[in-house]
Amino acid sequence: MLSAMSFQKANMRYFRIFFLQLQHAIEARSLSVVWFLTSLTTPLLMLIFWSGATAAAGGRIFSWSYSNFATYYLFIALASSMLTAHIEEDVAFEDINKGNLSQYILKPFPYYTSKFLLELPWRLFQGSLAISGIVIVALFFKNLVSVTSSPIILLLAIVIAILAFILSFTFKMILGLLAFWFTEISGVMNVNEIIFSIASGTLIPLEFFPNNLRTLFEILPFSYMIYYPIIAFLGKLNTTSLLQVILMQLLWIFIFSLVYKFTWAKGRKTFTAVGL
Amino acid sequence: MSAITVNHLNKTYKSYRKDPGFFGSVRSLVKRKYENIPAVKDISFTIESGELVGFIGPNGAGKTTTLKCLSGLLFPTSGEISVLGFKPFERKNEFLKQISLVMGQKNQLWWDLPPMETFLLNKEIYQIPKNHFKKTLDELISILEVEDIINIQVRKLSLGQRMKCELIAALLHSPKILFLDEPTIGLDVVMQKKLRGFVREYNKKFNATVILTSHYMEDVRQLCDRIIVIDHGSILFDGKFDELVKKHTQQKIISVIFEKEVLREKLLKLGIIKDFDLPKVVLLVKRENANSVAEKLLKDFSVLDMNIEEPDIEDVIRNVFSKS
Ligand SMILES: Nc1ncnc2c1ncn2[C@@H]1O[C@H](COP(=O)(O)OP(=O)(O)OP(=O)(O)O)[C@@H](O)[C@H]1O
Ligand SMILES: [Mg+2]
Repeated sequence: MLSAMSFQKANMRYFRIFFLQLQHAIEARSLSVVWFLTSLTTPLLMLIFWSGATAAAGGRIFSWSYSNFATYYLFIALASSMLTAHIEEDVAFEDINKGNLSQYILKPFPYYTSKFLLELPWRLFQGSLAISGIVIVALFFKNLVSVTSSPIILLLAIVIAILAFILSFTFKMILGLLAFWFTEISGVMNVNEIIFSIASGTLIPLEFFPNNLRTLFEILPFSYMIYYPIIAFLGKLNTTSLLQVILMQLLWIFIFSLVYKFTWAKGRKTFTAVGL
Repeated sequence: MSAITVNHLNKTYKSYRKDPGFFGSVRSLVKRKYENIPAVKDISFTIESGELVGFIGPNGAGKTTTLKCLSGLLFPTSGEISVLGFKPFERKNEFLKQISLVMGQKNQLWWDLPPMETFLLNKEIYQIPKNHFKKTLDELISILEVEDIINIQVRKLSLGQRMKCELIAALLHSPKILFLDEPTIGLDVVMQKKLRGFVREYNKKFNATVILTSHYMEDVRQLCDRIIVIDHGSILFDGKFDELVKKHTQQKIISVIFEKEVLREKLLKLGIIKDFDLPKVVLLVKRENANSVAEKLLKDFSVLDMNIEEPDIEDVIRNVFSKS
């Protein structure tokens, strides 16, 4: 009883911190629509490409019709704006390079959680923009948007989406922490963007890759951040495969959390709190 | 138990040297060249709870580095630090809830929101009980006279107003130990004085331990019972302010304003002439001779005005450093 109460109290604390940070995010950077629009460009370009390709191939490529592609990239836009964390630059440039990290180190609150509560409003905001976009598209082109109708699969897909965000977030946190050692971190980030856009299915659906590459992508964590959440919602996976996806996600989250702990502990020893 | 114990603390910064250009970057990735900058060298001291200690020393002496080590920001290269029985670098919550580091240059206030929002955030982060929060906040607000500004966007506040709010944000959780790094930097004389008064009061009222660094010797002289002089990473002096003055100045300053012309040669045997700008002359004399020289001056010359002073603190400090 007592522990339930203190648990609730602790939750209220996170909730209030989240709202204060949300308020700050709105004031400071004005949660902007521009960022959302940039996340639309890749899916749009790919769609234009496939429209030409499917026409040239006589309507279908690997059993994918043009409207299948449209649905896929619609959801890619949603997934990348909602599930992909963009905390790495903040961590690397503002916190480590400019020394803002000092403020977090001095506070009796975990850095990881602080950043998580800071990132969440952005994903919720851009995610809701993307969802309204999809709803509008669905009103005009009914057959383009067809989510699974099974409640169990939908529930599992939601779990997968949440885990995808945690996975992406933890990965980006680690990426940002590399700034403890590398002064020129942008190069690393750019390389990551390229690998990510291929291995996550953002550019091309993973089914189109040769088998050995596909196996590799199924092992790597990136597909569990974008590709699997999407096809889970589209109803392309049965319950067993969904559970397998969740298992893989949990495994990667576990690995990343160990790597995060390690990089944080090691990196903090090299931190010199510049700018103070 | 002492509030702070530092034993043979060393902190050496490793800064990577990168050769210019693309190949330079690649090479430095493979083979790291670094430069070692020893910022703090084998320092030891103990501070009892309730003490108000001043750190002074020239630029680059290692003051900020020491405070960063004490507050857990930096990993000591070697040596031990114990603050309230904790190792600062470990960042235990019970430790962090009892300390605060305030820096003149860097701030924790949210730039785009009123200070009140940062106060509320700190309330949650430090888990300050509602009643306690309200009481402390009201108290701090009235002492620092910031009633009117806590709801104005921080970016619109003046430097002094911001500093006051920084202090409030840093003190809401009633820290037992307060590290102040150049808290009066950029403040006008009136504000400096107010801030000093406030620090003293906080120290007395809560029996809080305070370490303060400053470039303004006045800060240190007026506030601190004890000072630690540090230069090139080493402690040169640790003790009472008066002791420092006594130990490092065998001289006093006599400034005289004469009624008539005097010959420089006649004054030479009385002491060192520091300034000869008739009618005003400044003499440096041995501490023990000060009174007899003064008598002599009054007897042999026609003097309009005369003052015997302790040397400028800045001079004292310079004296300490020049001997090291
Ligand atoms: N982040 C850093 N990386 C490398 N060297 C540093 C770093 N911070 C400080 N130093 C060096 O360490 C030495 C001590 O610096 P520190 O900031 O502790 O001096 P300080 O006594 O606070 O000086 P000031 O009065 O100018 O604030 C200086 O030589 C400085 O150049
Ligand atoms: Mg300094």
